[in-house]
Amino acid sequence: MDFELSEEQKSLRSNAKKFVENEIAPIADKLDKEPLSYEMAHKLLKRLAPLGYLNGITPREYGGQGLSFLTYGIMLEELARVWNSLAVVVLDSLFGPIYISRMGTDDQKRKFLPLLHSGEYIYAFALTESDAGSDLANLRTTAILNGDNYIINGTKIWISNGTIADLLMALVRTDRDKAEKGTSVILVEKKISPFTAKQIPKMGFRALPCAEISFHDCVVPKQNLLGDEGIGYKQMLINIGSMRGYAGIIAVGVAQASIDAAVKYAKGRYQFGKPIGGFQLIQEMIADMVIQTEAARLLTYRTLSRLEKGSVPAIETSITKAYTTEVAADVASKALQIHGAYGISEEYPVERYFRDARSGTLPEATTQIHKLLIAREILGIGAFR
Amino acid sequence: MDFELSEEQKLLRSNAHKFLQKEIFPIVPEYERKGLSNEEARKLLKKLIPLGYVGSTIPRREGGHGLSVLSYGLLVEELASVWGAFAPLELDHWFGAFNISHYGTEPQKQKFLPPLLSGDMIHAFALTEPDVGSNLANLRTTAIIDRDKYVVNGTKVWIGNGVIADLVMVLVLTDPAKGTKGTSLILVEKERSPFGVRPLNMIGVQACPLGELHFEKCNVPQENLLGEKGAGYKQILISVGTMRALVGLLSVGIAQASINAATKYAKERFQFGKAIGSFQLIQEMIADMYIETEAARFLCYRPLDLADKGQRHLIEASAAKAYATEIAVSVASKAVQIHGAYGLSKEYPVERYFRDARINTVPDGTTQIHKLIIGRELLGIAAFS
Repeated sequence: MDFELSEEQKSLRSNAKKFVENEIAPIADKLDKEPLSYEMAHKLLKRLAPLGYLNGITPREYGGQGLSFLTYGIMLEELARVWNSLAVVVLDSLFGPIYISRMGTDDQKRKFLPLLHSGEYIYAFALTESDAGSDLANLRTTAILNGDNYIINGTKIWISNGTIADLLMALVRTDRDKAEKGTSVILVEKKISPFTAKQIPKMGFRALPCAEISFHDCVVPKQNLLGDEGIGYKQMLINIGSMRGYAGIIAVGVAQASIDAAVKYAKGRYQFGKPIGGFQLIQEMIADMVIQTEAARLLTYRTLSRLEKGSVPAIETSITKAYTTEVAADVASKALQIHGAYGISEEYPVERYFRDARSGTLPEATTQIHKLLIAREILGIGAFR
Repeated sequence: MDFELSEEQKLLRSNAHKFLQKEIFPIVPEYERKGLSNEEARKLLKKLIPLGYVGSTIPRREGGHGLSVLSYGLLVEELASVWGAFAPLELDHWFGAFNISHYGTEPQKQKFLPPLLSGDMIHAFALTEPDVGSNLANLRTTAIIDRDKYVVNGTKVWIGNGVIADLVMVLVLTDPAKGTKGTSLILVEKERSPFGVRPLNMIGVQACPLGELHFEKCNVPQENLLGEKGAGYKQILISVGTMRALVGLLSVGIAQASINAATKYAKERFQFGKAIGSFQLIQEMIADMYIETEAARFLCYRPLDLADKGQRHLIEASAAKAYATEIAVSVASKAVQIHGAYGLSKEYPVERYFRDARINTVPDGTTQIHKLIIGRELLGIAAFS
């Protein structure tokens, strides 16, 4: 057991930190007011590309940095600390390279990876539907084979990067008679297979575009199927560990930002003749924030570190996701409280941390679903129905 | 960064686990009822020695097992999950050999280490006094030199192993004018230097109650001073981080026992036609117990790993101790709840886990003190007084 970062990780962290503080922090507040436009999102991602934010995880043989999941996570944490929404845009787009480099054909890799690595293409992952959230197997978007193409019909909702995506990976039903085993994953390239994306404004992760996506007889070349028909759900589950581990990074990032803001404020704000950090109730809040965030970070790093060694037990990924996101919501709420009225003012970043942290407990499976997954693993009894 | 135990550590833990489940778990209820005598306690300690206990971290050349503190922590966790009262007994006993190995002169090591490491003498550490708990500055037990002996006067209270100890390491004031800089550690052999003992009735650790020790003109040979005169407090501070993390693991052990009991019960208890583990409210409780215990475990491993590497770990230790002890109370309480009325009955072990867990948020720094320690570190402002 070893709780130290490697020299490479320490140096990547400090480079990432410098970069995000100089280039990203100054623009975060202003640009977080509304969902990023297509142009601005592409501009920002291209700016992040040289640091390895877009190709960090892809193996070197496909044009990536070949970083370990943990090492990339450490870089992402710095971005998440400074602008949580942008980190989610980057993370969600990152799953393009993760899926395609692992499950794509050589043609798909050659075609799409360079575009995703440079920021030319942004990626979105379309799973959820209005009647299929926690109960994803209930999904209804169909993809019917017709000659050389699949024809896609249906609506997806809550799709992050939906309005800015050039490449969509959709979980679709290719076989109506089966449940999970009738699903497939297909790459939809917007410029040749148009779909409509309607923005859904949100309370948190404001800059993260989030869309309702409609497919009306959307024609997609059959070579865009990722893997085989019928294994879509299963393929999606393969990357669950990284999805949940990185959800942890997003949460730890915003929690750390909340701590940093609260500590600064508690030292500088005077009442009753002394800094409010001199009062025990404030000290307790800060201590609780730190303890929980440290625990969240360790659990997250554990999940990411285990991913490198092969598979990580699903129960651990659920623990990480459930714990880190709930903790971040609590930590950000305490930071808001410590700031007093300044905490609810839009001129201070804490209210943004609060709204962003609060949003983290829902995607990548709600806290409640994770608890049922954990309990099912321990008890051997499913309580989903 | 590596979150795996070594093969050696896994073996150490599983050997302890097997032995404790088979040989110790069945005899616990009887000793909880009667309490352990000195002879009975020593007999049990002797049984644990081959597994790595007692001389755990003491160097092999001094008669110990030469384990890392992290490895010892694994053993503490296993013992606590089986017997919440015996684990602190063993821990407080180990602390004697630990300090004598660090600070003892050769003659002291030769005299005291063998009987401590063989389980022929039981050790207790006497620090706290009726008016001196969180605020160590006003220590009142004095040890005044009189020719070739120290005359000790004062009262110590809440002393673990106090009732059965053969050897007590006492923090005394050798120079009352200098406050904490006038404190020293002295080894008091009960047989040679008798003192009064009163057992204290506690809600937990009932097999080994804490003691109140009365030193009235207690003569202790001069050569029993341990380490440097005037450096008593400083000497204790060096090991306090390790002790705190180990107490945290003690609580993790109790939490784990609570999870195991609750899981078993939830699968076997039927109501409304099914196992109560099928109900979401129960599933959530189990999941929460599991999540918090995992978080606590890694928070505790980290300061021990840092201690093994000789690195600063006081803040990490405070976070570990505060968090692990508090969640163990919550976890054990949930276990009681899951057991329904059986949780309140003395015929089931859960009520003991609950009482033993409740003890640990107090010694080795209360939760509140640890939060102030963390607060001071982060804010640079002390709020103790």
